[in-house]
Amino acid sequence: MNASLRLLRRAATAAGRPLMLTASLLLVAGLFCTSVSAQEPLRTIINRELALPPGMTIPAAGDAEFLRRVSLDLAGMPPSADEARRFLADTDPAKREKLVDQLLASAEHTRHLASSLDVMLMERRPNTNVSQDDWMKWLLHSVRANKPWNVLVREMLTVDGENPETRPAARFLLDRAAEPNVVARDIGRLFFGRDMQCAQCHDSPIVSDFLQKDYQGLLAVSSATYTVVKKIDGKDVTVLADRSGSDLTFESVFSKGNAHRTGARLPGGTTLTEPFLIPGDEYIVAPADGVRAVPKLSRRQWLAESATSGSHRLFNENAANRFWSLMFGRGLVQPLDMLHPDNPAVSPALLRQLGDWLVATNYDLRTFLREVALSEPYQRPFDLPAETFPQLVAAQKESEQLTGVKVSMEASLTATNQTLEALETAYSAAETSLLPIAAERDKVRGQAAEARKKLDEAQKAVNDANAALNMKNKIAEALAASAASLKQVKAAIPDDAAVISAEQVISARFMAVQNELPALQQAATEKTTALAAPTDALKAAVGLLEAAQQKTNPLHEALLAAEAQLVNARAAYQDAQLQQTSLETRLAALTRMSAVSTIQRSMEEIAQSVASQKAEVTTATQAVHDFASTAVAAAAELKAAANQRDAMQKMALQEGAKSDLEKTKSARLTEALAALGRVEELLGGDTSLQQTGAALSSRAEAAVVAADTQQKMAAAAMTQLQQAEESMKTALVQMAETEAEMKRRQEMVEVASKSVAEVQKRQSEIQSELESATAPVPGDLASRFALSQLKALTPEQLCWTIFRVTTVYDRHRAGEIAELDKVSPLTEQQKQDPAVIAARQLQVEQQTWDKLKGNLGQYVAIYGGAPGQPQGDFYASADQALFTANGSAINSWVAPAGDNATERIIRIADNRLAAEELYLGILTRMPTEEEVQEVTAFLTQRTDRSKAAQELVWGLLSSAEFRFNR
Amino acid sequence: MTLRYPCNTTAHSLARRQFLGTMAAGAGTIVGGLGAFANPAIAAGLKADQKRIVVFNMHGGLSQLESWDPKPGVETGGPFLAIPTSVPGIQVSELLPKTAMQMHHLCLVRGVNTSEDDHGKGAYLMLTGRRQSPAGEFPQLGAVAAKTLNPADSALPGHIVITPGGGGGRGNDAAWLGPKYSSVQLGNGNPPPNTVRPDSIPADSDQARQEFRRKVSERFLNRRRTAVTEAFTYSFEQAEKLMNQRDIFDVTKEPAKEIEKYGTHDLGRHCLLARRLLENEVSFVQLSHSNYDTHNENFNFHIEQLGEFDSAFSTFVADLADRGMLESTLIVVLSEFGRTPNVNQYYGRDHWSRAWSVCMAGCRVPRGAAFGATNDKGTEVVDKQVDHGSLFHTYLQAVGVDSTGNFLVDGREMPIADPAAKPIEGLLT
Repeated sequence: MNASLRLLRRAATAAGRPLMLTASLLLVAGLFCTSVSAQEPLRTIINRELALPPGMTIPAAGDAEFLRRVSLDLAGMPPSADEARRFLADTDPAKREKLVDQLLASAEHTRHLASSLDVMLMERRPNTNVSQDDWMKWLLHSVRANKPWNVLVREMLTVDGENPETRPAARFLLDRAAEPNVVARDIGRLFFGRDMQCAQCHDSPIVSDFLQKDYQGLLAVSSATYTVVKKIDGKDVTVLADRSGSDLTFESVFSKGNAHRTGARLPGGTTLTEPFLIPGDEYIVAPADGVRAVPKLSRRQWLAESATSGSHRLFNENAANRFWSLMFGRGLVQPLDMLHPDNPAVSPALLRQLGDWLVATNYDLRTFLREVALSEPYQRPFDLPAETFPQLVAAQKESEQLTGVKVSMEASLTATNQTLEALETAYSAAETSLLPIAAERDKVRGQAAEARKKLDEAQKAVNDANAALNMKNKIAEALAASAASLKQVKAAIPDDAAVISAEQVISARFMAVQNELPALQQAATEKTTALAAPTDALKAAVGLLEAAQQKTNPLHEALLAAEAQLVNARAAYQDAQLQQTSLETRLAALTRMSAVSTIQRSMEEIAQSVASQKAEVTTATQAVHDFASTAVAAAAELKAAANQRDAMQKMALQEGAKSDLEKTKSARLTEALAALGRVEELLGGDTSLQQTGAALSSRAEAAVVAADTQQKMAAAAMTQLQQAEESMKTALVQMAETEAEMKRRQEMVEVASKSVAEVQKRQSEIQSELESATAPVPGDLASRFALSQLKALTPEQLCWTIFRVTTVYDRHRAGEIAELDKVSPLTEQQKQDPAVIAARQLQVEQQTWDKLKGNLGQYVAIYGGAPGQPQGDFYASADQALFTANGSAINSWVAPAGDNATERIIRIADNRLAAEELYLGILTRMPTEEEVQEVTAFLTQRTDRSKAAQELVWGLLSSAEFRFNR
Repeated sequence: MTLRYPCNTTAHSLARRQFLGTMAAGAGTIVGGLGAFANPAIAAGLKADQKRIVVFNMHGGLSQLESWDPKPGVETGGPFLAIPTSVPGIQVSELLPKTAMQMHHLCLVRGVNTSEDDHGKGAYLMLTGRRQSPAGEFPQLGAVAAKTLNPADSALPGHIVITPGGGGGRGNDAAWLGPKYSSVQLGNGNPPPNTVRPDSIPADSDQARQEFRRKVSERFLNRRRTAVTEAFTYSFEQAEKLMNQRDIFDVTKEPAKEIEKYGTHDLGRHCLLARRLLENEVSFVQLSHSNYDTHNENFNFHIEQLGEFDSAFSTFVADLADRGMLESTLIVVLSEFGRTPNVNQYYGRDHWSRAWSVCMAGCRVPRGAAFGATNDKGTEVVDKQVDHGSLFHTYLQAVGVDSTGNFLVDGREMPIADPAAKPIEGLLT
């Protein structure tokens, strides 16, 4: 039975007669056949829809990474070091599935999910009407029973707060003081994924699908609910009451004067058609001070039924998106309350199927979380494997295909948009013609209500008059009876003064009362007669109202028909729009990824050309080397020639000088011979002179010969010099040639080196291009769930994780177990009963939590968002870092105690084992070799091992790796 | 207890003549100037382009009649005289003799009408510039200032509220701007919590563990770095800087004569602390003076309260002027509302939001001016009426923030100030 039928029956039963009620919520989801079959596990659907592009492979995250991730997401805290060791050592191929089931069955999971729901639904608002303990108890109970999400929501929206049993669920509305705008906004956000705050006063300028009409339609529901203070068992209790709703009229602040009106309406649905009830007939319990009014048709009930019946697509997809984000740290649609076609889901098809799956499984949250945890996307790693980069080229192919699809899609978008615009105009026309008639109807309705009020007043006057008359009549009867009995007394005891006096008094009183009766009788008659006028007036007014309603009906029906068409067209347009924006987002990511592969290709090319240029440098350098000996030989030759020339020059000079000397000698002898001859002529025949002359003469001849010889020798030396100079010239020319060749060869090296530098510069440019193109890739992949997300721990997770790794949690837990075993030990038989064991575990968890919850307040105050504000936004501030560094709490938790990490490290003498204990206990993974060395060095350098252990534990607790889940 | 005092005294008529003279020149005229008082040597130490705001929240509802807008000689005006100030023609209550001497720096906004007589709602609208709306919260002036004015590299929080007593912590006053801009509350002027390294951790130990933390974090962040992880890393650097700068929060580091000048009572100490914070680039400081909710014995309470306020506030204004800080610091003295221009049977005054005053100084605000006026009895605004919305715009405009712009929050544009209100041109030079 669908919501409207159920509602119809309820209203009809309440009113005691059949009502014309057509709550026609358009079942947007119903338009599309669902592809979800109960047989196919959800994880198969998830794996299919979020499969990696063909050609790309990313291996699953390692065991340690998965263990920490899933423990934090399902139990709100990581495993202990020993649990981690056991899991890592387990060789069962199904161990991940076993782990997920263990976690889902744990008391910690119940707590974690209940507390996540608390934060999601109440956003840390103060408890004003329902205590946190009562609220949490209800949530814990709901989670434990795996209460379907739609039932949970229905309970929150429909309870009135009067019954203490169900009152906690009323906290959702009561602690928002049932303020219509707050409730409308939060119902829009939390149950339909749409924050329509901007649409309060006008259609959202940013989001084309956030319509003022949608917001006002929800407001028409929320403003029919209000709080009343009712006395229950002598106590003032604030409870929820409902008015019979009326249409809201509104106008956009952007186009004043254009009035619109709406009845109760869900986002994306059609308007609720309410039965025609004449004034005074609307309520089962009419509103009054201290009374919880109950109308025949409660809009709140209608909203709860319609939204949760399984047929409202936004409700289903919002639920899927929110629970998805509990696991992945982000929704398929992000932000969570911006679920609209301009902000498409990573995979709209998946979101649709998740929504349908929830409906098909009766909103089975536990199985939903289980299947998500075992899906491939959830198990993807945090780090991008190096071998994935070359695979990014696959993105380009996909991108080319999608570009073709996009063009054809644009045409269909334009067509659906035209249809939508035409229907919008038709709707506006229908609305415009309805508005004045409906306003007239409202006026007449007001008059009828006024007439009804007058009739009620007149009826009250009649009732009052009749009551007064009846009362007087009773008094008169009593007096008459008393008078009669006194008369008998008087007859029995005549002349008794007291009796006589009494009889007189009573008779007189009777007479007086008797005299008053006609006036009262007349008043009653008059009042009754006076009833006719207001009765007629009401009849007339109701007649008028019925007439006005008759006039309104066809127009209203026309409007509804237009609306139904409009809603269909809008859904069609939105689908087209959704596909298009989704495609665009996908294309943008693909473009970024294929850019990486393009750059990577040019990176490879440039690397090749760097190599070839380098080879050229090598060849050229070799040529220079090879030529070096030639150059050396040429230089040596030149040097030898030069030496030769120098030697020859020297010899030529010497021989020349000698020749000159001999010539001079010979000349002097010739001169002396000539002089002697003149003397001989004068003296004549002096023998001694002749002898002397002869001797001289032979001397001179010898001298001439000697000079001649010497001259020849000089000439020979000269010739030799000339030869040497020739040789040197030749050597010089040769040298110049050699040098030129060397220079050429060296220049070749220089040119080749220069081009190496140029190519290398380009290479480093491309490198940085590649880096900046690569940087967003992990984020892009992660936002499409191809890699795991970086998700900051919530204040609750952070606090409980610190308690876990410092063993504060386990020590308190052990204490509670010991206490319970002492106070109420289990019998052997009980120990065999899983139900008893489960109950005991819950009790232990609750007591441990109660003991420790005081600390949570500190974390919420420092790490949480402000009350009533969204809690999902991460922020880091100095006060958090100061709290971590200097706060007394955390410093005391890292001090050695019990069997905590600090104590263990102090005890373990082997530094390698100490490092393993440290990393496994706090970050749920084994340390790398580098980390082992670091810890070893740290422990060796710090003299006080106890202090050093604390420092190490604190260092890991305050690290980024600890602060984020991944 | 109401006291009639003789009209037509010399001081009174002189003051009136001067007042009329000023009126002739136009209200809002700047009288006096900063130049003569500025001390460039000290001003040079401040970042030239950074602007700051300091708010004095006169908790409970300061009586405008006993302070900025006295009505002597009127039956309901109370027993106190109006006295001349350093600006001819402007008079204030005789309960503010020292402040009167600083009038040449101040600007009295006498035509405030906020139509809200509830403490909580009045305080809300004065601090956020908007009426409380059930559908959403608005950030307070301090959060807006921290977001728009605080230097990006400052380690100190941009939004500080000095509370009269109690412990510190984080205020819930930033709404959709997010907790980053929530106030850091300094209970009774004490430094923020956790800013001292505990004795149990010696310096070398702290150094060793921080170094280890950095290395571990760095290794992790080399695997993936996002805006979120950068913010996380920066928070530790900021914490360290804050610890190194802790002395800024310690007024005992001031010379004895400074402490004496400001007064050893709480408000004096808080004013001196505010000055230290503003000097150190904190963009917004709010102090409270409590309590002015004088339904009983209005006059006695105001003598007592304003006596303390007058000396601390006048010292603060003179000091800022002296240090050349008025050019870059906006001072606002506000309340949730004023007090009734009639006296009840307990000699008290009740809540009155239809005609009251705010005092401003510094930045683009005219010096030595009175802007707007109430009628003879102070029951209504008769000239240049303003409200919380236009004042909020004006505070921001005075420090160079375009209050008509938007913040982008999660892809949504959120107006910085109420788009339905406008800055008050007459209050901006």
